Amino acid sequence: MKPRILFVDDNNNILMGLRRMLRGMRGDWAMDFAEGGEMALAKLDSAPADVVVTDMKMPGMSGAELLDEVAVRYPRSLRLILSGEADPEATFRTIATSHQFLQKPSNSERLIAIIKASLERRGAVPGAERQAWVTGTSRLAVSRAGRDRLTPLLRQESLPIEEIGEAFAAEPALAAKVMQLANSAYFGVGDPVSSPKAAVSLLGQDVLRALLREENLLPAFPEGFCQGYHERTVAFSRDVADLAAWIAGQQGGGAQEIALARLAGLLHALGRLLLCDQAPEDYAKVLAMVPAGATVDDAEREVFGCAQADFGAYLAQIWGLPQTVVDALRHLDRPSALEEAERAGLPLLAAHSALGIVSGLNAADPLGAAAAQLDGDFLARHGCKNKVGDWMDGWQQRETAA
Amino acid sequence: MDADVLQKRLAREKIARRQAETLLETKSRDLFLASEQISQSAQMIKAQSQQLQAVLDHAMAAIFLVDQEDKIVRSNRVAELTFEMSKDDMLGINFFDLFSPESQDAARHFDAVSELHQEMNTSDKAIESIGRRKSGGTFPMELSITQLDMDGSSFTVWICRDVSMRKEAEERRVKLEQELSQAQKLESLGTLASGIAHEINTPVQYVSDNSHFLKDSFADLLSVLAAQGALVEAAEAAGLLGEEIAKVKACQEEADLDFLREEVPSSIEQTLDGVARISKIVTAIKEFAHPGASEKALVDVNKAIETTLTVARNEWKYLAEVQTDFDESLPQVPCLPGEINQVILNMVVNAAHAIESKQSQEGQEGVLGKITIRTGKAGGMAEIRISDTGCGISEGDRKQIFDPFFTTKGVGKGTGQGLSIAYGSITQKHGGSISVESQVGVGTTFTIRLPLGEEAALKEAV
Repeated sequence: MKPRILFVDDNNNILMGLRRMLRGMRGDWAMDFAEGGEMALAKLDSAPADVVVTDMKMPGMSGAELLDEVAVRYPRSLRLILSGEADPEATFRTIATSHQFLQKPSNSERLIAIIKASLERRGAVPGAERQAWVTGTSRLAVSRAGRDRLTPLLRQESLPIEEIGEAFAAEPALAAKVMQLANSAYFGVGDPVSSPKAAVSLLGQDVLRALLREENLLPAFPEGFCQGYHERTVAFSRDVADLAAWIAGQQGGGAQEIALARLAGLLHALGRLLLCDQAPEDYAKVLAMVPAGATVDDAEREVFGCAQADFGAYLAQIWGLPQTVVDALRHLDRPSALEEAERAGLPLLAAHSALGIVSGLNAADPLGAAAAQLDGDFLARHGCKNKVGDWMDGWQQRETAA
Repeated sequence: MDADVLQKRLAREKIARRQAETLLETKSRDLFLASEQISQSAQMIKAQSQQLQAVLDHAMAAIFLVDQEDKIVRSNRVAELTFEMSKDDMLGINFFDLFSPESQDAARHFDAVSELHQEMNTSDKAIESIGRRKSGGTFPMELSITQLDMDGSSFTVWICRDVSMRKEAEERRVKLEQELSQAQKLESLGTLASGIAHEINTPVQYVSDNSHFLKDSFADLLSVLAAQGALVEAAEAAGLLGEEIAKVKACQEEADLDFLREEVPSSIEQTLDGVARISKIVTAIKEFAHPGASEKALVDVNKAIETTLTVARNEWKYLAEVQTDFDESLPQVPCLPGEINQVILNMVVNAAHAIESKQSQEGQEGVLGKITIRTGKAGGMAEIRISDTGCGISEGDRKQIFDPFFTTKGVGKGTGQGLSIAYGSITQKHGGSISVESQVGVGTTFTIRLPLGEEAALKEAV
């Protein structure tokens, strides 16, 4: 069945224009058009949509109100805003409720690319309920360490942007969220932002303050069986991020590549964090399988029907994170398996190597353990097969020095 | 003479002497009292005179007693401090020598007028004038004057107040007010601009969508036409449907089909080009106006310059070619985005005006000048160099270009605030620097340096 896309706008000219412009997609998508929020809900009632693209400012029900409804009634739908809106207050309303905010005018290529890539990523996650875990996530739980670090900073009268940026950059949940915001059309007027720190700085005092007012920015992970594991996963992600950035630097990467490598490393377990949060009971099953000899990755596949990375990549995709990072997340496990992994380049190489090395560090034979994790063909293709030992040594020296 | 007579005389003399002694005693007591009084009065007068001098010296104004020949007879301590002269230097010199040459006449006139109206109390009337210190420096002062007569000669008391501090404070306040109103203007302009951008973006979306549609569907129609054309040719070759084929051909002729085939796609292409341009300009206006950015953020300076050039295109396009030479590795710079855009805009507009002025001086209207903008790193700072091939700035003017309200532009062209605001913003708010090199008739280069963030500076140092 073709995916159903519903476009909503109070201006009929816009709807007709979209219908004509996207005529080329009629073979792939079933498109429908609604003049306003009420009509949209009526249409959804008879046939739910996979994607809802709505204008923001409309008489009667606004785009934000419509998406609030959609989120409750059809949690599996992807929710996009296409607006020329310039009012910051109104835009804040959409932060929790929409996955991405696109600027009018948006050309067809961009709109098509975003919807296509999101539907593709969704396809890797089996089952409507599991897909809804991803679309139903508007924020992820923050580790206790992250909360302890940020709470006093966020209470200060003049927010210490630099320190807050660093704290955000060390916490996968916040890094992903702030990247989503900074790259959304309203805030991200310039080039795509590639580091959480730059994203925090771009949002600045005023927006952060408004966010603090409107949103619970630091949701705690609920008490329970997975809490400790969640905490450890965040700490582990931090190590992978640092090492990935270091390796990218060692390989002569530019500032942007280093930032993307760090982000890919930090978010490598984004799906796992999401699963711990959204389905703690199922995740407890995963943790119960590990002592019996299964690897975490395999146990996750068995319980959830796909890799945690598929969840992570889907979330990263619909939140509009840099495509390099989305691609890296998907292929972090076996980068050589897919040719298109080349697109992710150095950030993928660095994050993949960092993940392997950090996983091996506590083993009896760290290098052997790392090698078992790493994709030899992929490393060989980048001429890095023999560098793993050096990286491990260099990193450990650095750690001891620090 | 008998003893009796002598006795009586002695007695009289004794009495007279006693009387004389008593008188002497009384008189000398009177004298003593008088002298006591005199010395007390003298002390009092001395004390009063000291008090008076102290009052004079501690008055917050320079006070002079000047005789009819304009000679200074007396002055106070503040007078010495104000004019940087000793009492000896001051006494006997012509009072008007204490004025700057150009304000002497006005002071003399003030003196003459107040003499004419002696019956009026003129001390509450004050004029502003310019004083001159011994070192040659001048300063603004406020003057008031009183005429008085003593022992048949008339004197003038001059009270001169150094008001440079007050003037400076006032200038600072005026400047602050200007900055504030400038900021408010920018903010409301920003809000307005983003509102307009929104209004324009909606129709741009569907004009663009429809044009894309026309482009795709015309291509589809052409393939249908091609298939039908083949059919017509085949029928013609087979000698079928002669009448209908003639009709189709006449119809094609009438519609100028070949022309349409050529021109429709290119007309749509140009429409799309135009729409893309509009959308680029609207985005630039939105970015330029940057409403609500009242704090520092990391700014891609290269992009900010591109944006500003787009917004200000109308200011330079008929006067100059703009060439950019960007250092692509320049890290983002922490700054106030709205102000940096404004500063760059001022610089670009100035460059264009300088070129215009040179063109009209040399009668070469229409010959395009050149504005070059370079970016780079220099000693832990981001550097922006804006060069023009305009009229240049003379050495005398170069000292004043950053002063508020200094302008060499014609009425309606400049308010003399652009560079002064730029200077304030770059040096005070950003901790950077702004400097100028110029050669009259050849051109001018402004160099702006902005400190890079700590992290970027560290990266540079490695």
